[in-house]
Amino acid sequence: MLDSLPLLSLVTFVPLAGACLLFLLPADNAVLIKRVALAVAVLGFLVSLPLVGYDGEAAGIQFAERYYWVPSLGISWHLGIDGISLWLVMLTTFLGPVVILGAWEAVEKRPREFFFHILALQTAMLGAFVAQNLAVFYLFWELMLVPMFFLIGIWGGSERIYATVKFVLFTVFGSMMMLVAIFYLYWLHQEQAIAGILGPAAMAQPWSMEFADLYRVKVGLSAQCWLFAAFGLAFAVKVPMFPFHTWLPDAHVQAPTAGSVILAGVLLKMGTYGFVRLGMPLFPGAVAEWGWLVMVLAVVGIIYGALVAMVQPDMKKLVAYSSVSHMGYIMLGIFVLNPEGVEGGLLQMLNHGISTGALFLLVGVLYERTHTRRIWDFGGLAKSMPIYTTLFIIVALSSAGLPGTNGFVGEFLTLLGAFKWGHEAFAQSGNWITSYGYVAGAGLGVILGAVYLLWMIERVFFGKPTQKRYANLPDVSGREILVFAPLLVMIFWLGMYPKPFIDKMEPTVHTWLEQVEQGSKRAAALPADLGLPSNPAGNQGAVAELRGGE
Amino acid sequence: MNFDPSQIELGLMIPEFIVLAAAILTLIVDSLLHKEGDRSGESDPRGLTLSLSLFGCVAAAAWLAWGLWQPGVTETTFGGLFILDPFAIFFKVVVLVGAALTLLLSDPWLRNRRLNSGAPHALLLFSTSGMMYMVSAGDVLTLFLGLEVMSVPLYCLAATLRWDDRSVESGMKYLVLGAVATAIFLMGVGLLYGFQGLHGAEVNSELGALRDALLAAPDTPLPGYAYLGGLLLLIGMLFKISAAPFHMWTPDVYEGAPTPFTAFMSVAVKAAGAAVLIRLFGGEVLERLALDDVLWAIAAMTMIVGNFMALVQDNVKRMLAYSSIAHGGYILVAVLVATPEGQAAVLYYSLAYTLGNLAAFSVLVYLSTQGHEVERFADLRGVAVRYPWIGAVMVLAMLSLAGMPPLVGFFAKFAIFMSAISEGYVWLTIIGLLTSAVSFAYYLRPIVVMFMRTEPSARQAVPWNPRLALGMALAAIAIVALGVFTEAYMRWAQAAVTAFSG
Repeated sequence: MLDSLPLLSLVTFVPLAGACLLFLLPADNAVLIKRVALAVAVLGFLVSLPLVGYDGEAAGIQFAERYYWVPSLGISWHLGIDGISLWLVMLTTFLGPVVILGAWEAVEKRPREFFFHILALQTAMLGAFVAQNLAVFYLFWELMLVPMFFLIGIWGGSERIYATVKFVLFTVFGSMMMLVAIFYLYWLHQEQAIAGILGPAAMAQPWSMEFADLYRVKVGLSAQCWLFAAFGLAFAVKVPMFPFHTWLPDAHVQAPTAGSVILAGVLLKMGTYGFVRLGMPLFPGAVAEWGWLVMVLAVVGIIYGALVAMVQPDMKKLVAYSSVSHMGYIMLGIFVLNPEGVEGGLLQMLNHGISTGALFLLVGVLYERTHTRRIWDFGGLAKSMPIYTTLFIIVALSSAGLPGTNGFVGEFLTLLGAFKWGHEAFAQSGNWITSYGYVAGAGLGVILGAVYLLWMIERVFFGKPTQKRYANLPDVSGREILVFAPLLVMIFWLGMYPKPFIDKMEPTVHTWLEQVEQGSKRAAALPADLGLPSNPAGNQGAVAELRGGE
Repeated sequence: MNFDPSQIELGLMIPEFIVLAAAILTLIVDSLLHKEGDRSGESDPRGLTLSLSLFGCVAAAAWLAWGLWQPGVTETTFGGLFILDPFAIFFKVVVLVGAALTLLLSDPWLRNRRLNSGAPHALLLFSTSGMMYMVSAGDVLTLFLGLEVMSVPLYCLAATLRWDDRSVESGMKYLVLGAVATAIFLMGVGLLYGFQGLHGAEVNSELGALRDALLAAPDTPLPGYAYLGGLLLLIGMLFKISAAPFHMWTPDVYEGAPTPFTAFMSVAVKAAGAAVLIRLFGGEVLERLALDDVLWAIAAMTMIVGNFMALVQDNVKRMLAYSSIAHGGYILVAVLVATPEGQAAVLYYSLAYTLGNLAAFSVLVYLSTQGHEVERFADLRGVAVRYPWIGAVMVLAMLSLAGMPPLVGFFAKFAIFMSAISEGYVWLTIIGLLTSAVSFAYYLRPIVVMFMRTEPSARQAVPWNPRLALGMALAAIAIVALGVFTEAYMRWAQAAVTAFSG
């Protein structure tokens, strides 16, 4: 009975169902609305708990469910998780209640709509993480924009409309390029399936949007590079990678605290997740060819983000730029393509979601009390707000990668992976800069990260108060402690005993690495022009050869 | 054109007859009840005329929908002058849906402007019947007659507000440019007739015969005037569906015409025009007349011009006018593709676009029922804060037009560009999707204004209006439902073209 329960659909749609429920409540009863929203988010988390029972040993897709949706287009409602998406789903459901509790007092206008959008966003993000069909993925990928658009646009700061439109347009341009590539890939699958290259099963159903089917499409190097560029653009905007990051500081600064937390905590991961789930396994040949460029951009992002963060007068903007820097580690970790790097990158996704989410919440706490976020307005807060100061320092240090906290494990593994990669590259090329340059740049970023965070802490919490009216701010309330407690638990849990997390993802990471590696070898063996419009399914001779290889 | 009069099957035209009968009855009822010059509303025939005309549309649509369950056969009468195939039925249903929703929209709007006459309803129905003939035309003559029966009432509808300069200007512009388009179209027909006559074939206005004459000797080049004829024919139709660079009249006409009728013009004319383009240029005719590259360029230009010009408009109706131009461009892509998939995509797209646009216009109409024309972005300020459900309809309409999954507009774009990719039109797809990304910028504007600009507006409250609300709700529900349950609908569209001989 329980086996047939569509658990992932349930996990995905509980928040949306709850969001619709909000509209049955009276619009002016804010307390009731908040309580219901919180209850829904907690329920969403509880429903997702059984997913932790994911069998790490077995790897592969689990909790799969598949229903027909648009069979004539090969679109089916296919959901499932593997070791990579498992923790991202958990992160999303975990952050839900935290965000709602964090926004308890901050939202005064139109609370019903606010919590509707938060919960709807929850559904959209979960859907994208659990999708196993490209159409379903794209559906949720685009759907994510709508609630975020409203969250920033209605409850944001003074420049909110500019920021929210910029956010949507950047993302949409990326998505549309991806859509072209999706169409193209989908068509290639159909052409090759009909030509018989993909085996009898595909021949029977040539139209397919299934991830598993699309992985098998044979794409030559030139076509791979084009398609990878199109997919990569969409994901790079979302990550955001340097130089596509310019929407992020605007969006973060204008967004309400809850919006920032979700944006940094989960939404950005959508970009890196996209690379892991689609960009790299679909086009491994292109990754082998152009991976170095992504790595260069990642390292540039790490250093650039850190340098810009250092000079920000606004605390929120500082955290936003630190995100640019941290997302660079994740990209670097994923693209070095060894177990340490990839596991580090994946862990770093969780860490960044927790630590940066917590940082945004902390900045939000201060903003609620003072309505300013400028660093020079503060000073000596440690005296009046000791608990707050302690929380802030712990979270900031975890973000900077202090041993014993979550940030350390992720950054360390990532750097280890980058070093290993550099070691191998050096053995091949003998060039110091193109091999060890990446890990050196990333290492510099770690130092810079400590600099800007500690410098902010010093200016905000120590010394003398710069403004009298901020000398006696109330310390964190019981509700706020309740918000931060689970985050702190996670910070230390992941920092001291990350084994259970890594164990669940490790086998998946290994199969994934193998898939990418084998894929890039196969791609190199294919005729380079295979998959271009001029030669979608290979000429007759090549078809025979490819069939033989199956 | 030899046919046996005893073989005429009038039964195929029953839907048209229903619509025409409703139109004529509407006129009679109107002239009996309506007193000229009475603006007090006492001698108001419109309750009756509205019911009559709505009944006409629904009955005709129901008749056609019932016919759809029959196996998809092609029936012709009048010796091939009139074709009833699933393709035609599909477009007729789309046009009738558009007409019925427009009737629901127009009533409160007209009432509020003290236009106590049923004449607009009758005109709308006449125009609808013209479209229905047009999509069934198996012959240039029928096509032309349908085109004119469609257009002339629209000129009048555009100028319904006789005392309003903008409305009159809109009607005049539409009339003059429509006449030019007709002339161009006829010129093209004439040249192709000449070609037919000079090349041995019996002069015959049937589309099939024309096609045969053109494709008879595929290896010999056609004489220059045949190319010119094809080009003129194409241009005439492009005027009607307002493709760039023949779109200049559209924003002015759409802006000046009464909002409900703008909605009708923007959707139904486009659907009927797309159907005719497929009938005229389906198969290999487009290639034979060397028009495929021309259409490629026009489709690309239309998408670019429409989407970019829409960005800079301050008037929502003008914005929607340019957006309709852009959508014409997407439809042209599928016309160019000309495979069964492409033609099915045109069908699918027409209804998707009709629903999205009607929903958007219905919001404007709803807010304009207080005598004040709501048509500038500034007029929409904060509307959604006061009326969240109106805001929700606008969000659905805009996102569907922009192509957001899982709304119907997304699957429509999916179908069009998928068919384009399969035929190797990769660049056209890139242009199309990048310009759709641009379109998000202007489709978001009404949403921004309605939800996020909450400065108090001095506008008086809009009274609850069940008829309009019904129209809006129907459109909004259809936008979601046809998207989520897209499978059945897509199969319907595909079945309609499989039976279509081309």
